[in-house]
Amino acid sequence: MPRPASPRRPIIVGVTLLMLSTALLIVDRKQGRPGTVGRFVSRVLGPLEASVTTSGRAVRTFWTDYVGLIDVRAQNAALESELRELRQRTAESDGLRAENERLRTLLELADQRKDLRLRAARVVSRGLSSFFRVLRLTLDVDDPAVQPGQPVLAPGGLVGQIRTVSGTHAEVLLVTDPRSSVDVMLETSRVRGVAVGTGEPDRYAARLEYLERSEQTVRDERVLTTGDDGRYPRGLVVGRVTSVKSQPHGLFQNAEVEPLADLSGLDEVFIVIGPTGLTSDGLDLERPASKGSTPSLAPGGPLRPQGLP
Amino acid sequence: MSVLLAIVAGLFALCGDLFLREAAGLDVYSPDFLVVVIMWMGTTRTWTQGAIIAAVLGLFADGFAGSPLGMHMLHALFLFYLSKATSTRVLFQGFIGRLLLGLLGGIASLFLLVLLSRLVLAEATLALRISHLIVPRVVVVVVFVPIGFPIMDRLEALFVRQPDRDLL
Repeated sequence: MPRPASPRRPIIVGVTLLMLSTALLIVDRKQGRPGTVGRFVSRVLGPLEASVTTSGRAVRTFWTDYVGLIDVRAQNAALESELRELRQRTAESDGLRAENERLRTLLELADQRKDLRLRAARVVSRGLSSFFRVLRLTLDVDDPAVQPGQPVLAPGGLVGQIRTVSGTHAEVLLVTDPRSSVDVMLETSRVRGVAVGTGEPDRYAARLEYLERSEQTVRDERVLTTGDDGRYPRGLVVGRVTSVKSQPHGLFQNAEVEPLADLSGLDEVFIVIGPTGLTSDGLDLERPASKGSTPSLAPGGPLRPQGLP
Repeated sequence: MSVLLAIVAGLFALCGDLFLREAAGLDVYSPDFLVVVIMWMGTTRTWTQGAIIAAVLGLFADGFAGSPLGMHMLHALFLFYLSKATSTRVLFQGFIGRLLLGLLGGIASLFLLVLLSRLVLAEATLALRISHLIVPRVVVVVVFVPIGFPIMDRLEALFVRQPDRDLL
């Protein structure tokens, strides 16, 4: 049978422990370094502390180096997805910007040619043939005003003429097609000739035929439509002269013309439906012309390029 | 048996504290399990038994903390006596009661540590450093007292035979 605890026991034990701890503290402070008890405690607890610390660090390393990477992987996937989406948006935005730029240029062209009724059309494809140069257009609506033979313009200059129309689709014969011929005049030297497409498979070009040999043809001179053939309005830029070959004999000389409209990269074009009855500056042809303004489409009017770069 | 088990439990608490500091990098928010264990002993152990256990665990805490030997012993002893004296006069039962006990114990523990470090070390900066920890450490003790007490009650019921508790 166990002895009943003495009522003084807790006090004795408490005082002893308090004294002991105080004594340990005093000795520790006096020595300035761990005493025998301190060394013993360190020796006993050291390995335990080391193993606990090591395992704690191992868990932390495991967590940060492995488990943490699970989140990183998921985060990486999310970021990649976000990046793809942003790239797609950027591409869309770039496309819209480019389209906006093209349409702005087209609008500028329409603004500069107030004398012409223009109808916008989108280029959907280019002809598969290497020798025949055609474009296929699509119109927003089936427009009866669009007819074969009508000129087609782009911001750079003349593109060609409508060859066939079928519903909302139309085919354009480019000025570089060998079947195309346009009455032209050089801008400065005023030499007249006919621009006929070369139909070369690797580039867009036309040659100038019936250029009189006696006339001085300047390289880089711009080539404009005369309007005499009844198909193209007067003063449209066809291209520029890239080379001149003088013949030792005969009446004519040969020159080559490069279209100024980027025929390989067209996305939108204008079809010339007909005249508006205005001048290119927007003046009414019926009203008396103000001083200094000359209607460009007036018969016998001065030949000048109409607002084309 | 009960004393040894309490010491082992306290040692585990110290190891758990150390482990959490290393593994989770909790630093000042690391729970002071030893304070929780000592306060639990204040509510369950006799004066003598609890004082012995607190002194031994305080000695271990000195060993782990690298503090002057005896400092954590004194801290643990005072904390135990405070907890014992309070729990014999006021009944801290239920979640709220234990929450209050945790609040009192956490504040007292930090206050004791600040006081002891100021007296023993005569170093104002350490006392100041510890005083900065008051809020996070008290919060952690407050949270862990209501959680830790029922766990230790269960453990004791598992390992300790009833007659052993009445020995001292």
